[in-house]
Amino acid sequence: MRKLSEKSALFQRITNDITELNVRSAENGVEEALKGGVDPREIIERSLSEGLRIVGERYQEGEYFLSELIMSAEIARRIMERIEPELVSKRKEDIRGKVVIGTVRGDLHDIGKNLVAAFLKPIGLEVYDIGIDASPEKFVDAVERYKPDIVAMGALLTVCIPMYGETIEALEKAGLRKKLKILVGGGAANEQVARDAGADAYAENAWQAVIKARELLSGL
Amino acid sequence: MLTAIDLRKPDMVPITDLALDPPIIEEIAGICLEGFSFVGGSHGEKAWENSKKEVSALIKACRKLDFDAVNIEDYVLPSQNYSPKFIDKTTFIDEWGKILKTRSDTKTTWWFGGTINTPEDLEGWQPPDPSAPGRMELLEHAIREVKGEMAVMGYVHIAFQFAWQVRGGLEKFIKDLYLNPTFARKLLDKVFSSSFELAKMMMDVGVDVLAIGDDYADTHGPLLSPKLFREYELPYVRAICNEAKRRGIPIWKHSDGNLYPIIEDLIDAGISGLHPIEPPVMDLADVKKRYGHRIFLAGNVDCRQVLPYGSEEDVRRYVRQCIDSAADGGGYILTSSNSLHANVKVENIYAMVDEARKYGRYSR
Repeated sequence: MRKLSEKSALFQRITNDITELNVRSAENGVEEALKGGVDPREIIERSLSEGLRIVGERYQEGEYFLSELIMSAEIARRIMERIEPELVSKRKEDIRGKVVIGTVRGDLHDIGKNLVAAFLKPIGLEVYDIGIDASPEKFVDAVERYKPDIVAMGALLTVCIPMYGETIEALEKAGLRKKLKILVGGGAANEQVARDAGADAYAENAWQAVIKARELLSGL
Repeated sequence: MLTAIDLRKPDMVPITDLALDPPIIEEIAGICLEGFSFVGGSHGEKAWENSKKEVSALIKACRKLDFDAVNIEDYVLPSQNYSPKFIDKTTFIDEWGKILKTRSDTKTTWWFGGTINTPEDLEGWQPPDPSAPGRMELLEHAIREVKGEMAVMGYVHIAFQFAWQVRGGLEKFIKDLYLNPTFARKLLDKVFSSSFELAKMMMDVGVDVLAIGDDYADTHGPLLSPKLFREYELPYVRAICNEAKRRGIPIWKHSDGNLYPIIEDLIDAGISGLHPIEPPVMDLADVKKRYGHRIFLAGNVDCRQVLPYGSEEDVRRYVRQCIDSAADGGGYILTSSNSLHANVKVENIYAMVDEARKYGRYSR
């Protein structure tokens, strides 16, 4: 990439393709950038994160809907898949934190969880997805294994609300709670539910999860 | 109820509900049901026989509750030839090719996955044949049984919901719409060809109201962007409304969630009324004010908190609030905000009906 302005224009183009959900064009842009020797981390910073931020904002403002969120997450997944092998020289300081994410026991919904996972990766978080219907024990095992900074849990069904608290309690009993930040989300949750369960933060949607995760990490 | 649907003022606010979970039907009708029903409509090994029993019990329960209508869903109209294909003890493939899980405590099922994974799967896939033996028999029986006493509603899904369910998930289907629209369209067309035929047969046998399903929104807003919705789903809604209108049969549109961004589209497509105006994301009084002169409204006694966990007085207060919000001038039918599901307290259902009968008199 010869000129700085050319590079900026390319980042802008990829960002636009992400926000306008032009999958192929976004992929081509990323390919072009990589071929031009652009640092893949810069693509994540300047195009991917920025694109997802804009999509998240449009969703919150009612301009975008679930379909756009899902498709932008798919574009992010594809770009990350393409870029990840290029990050071989990934240095420790590039990893800003680790997250274990799952849908709590009794709930099989995964759209929201998948969206949050897709949105968190581009901000430099390593995401360990433990799937749906994840028991408190499964969360405990995952935390012992991956030693995350944040545990993110979601549920859509209101009958599963008690599981937020039970999972947090299990983490406490296992002596893992102190070093952890806990983020609660999903259709079943709200600020009150998160507080009652003993969580550190509540996120209403995928972009909010990014904002909250950043806040939680800066408080660590 | 038909007077209210016609946007006129009946003697009192009509009452019904789209669905009663088996434990509710059992408790009210005093009949023990077999198999699994309601969400997904598969009924153990003897699907048709069990459905027959459920429809009879449902009528008995609606009668006992003094409802003004009984709703017969496509879920409870299997073919006589159908039996679910069990993958394991609690998982089976239904007549559509959806994968469902059973819940023995509530005798319900819930959607788990689909069987269309490739374009070849779609080529080979056939939706249920609406004219398969026995399918209409249960509906005809219901009509004969309650004629003149209650209105009979026939409920069909349209295209979007069963399409994503048989495809294996909303996420997959939404990606199809962007990445492989021809495939997505073909799937929708196939689903609709079956449901449209079923809808016509329901009208042929004499339902008073055609209810159309498919949830289009969550509490945030429509699942599909209005642009995708207008392109892919709305034409089917319009087609079914036109057919019903031609026959003089009103269309009751059900969809959960915040429908504000697409409500005008639905009205323009020809729906006669909307259910359930989900609280708190849609405000019944506001919808009444803005759209009550064009469509009837049905809803929205909260079945998330009030009906399952509220006291009798909470229920009565909520019912009065609904009536105050939407009953003025007619065009309003009282129902729960989704269904009378297994967690709802039966005494609260009786309180709901009792309060609506007292407070919902137009002459009061």
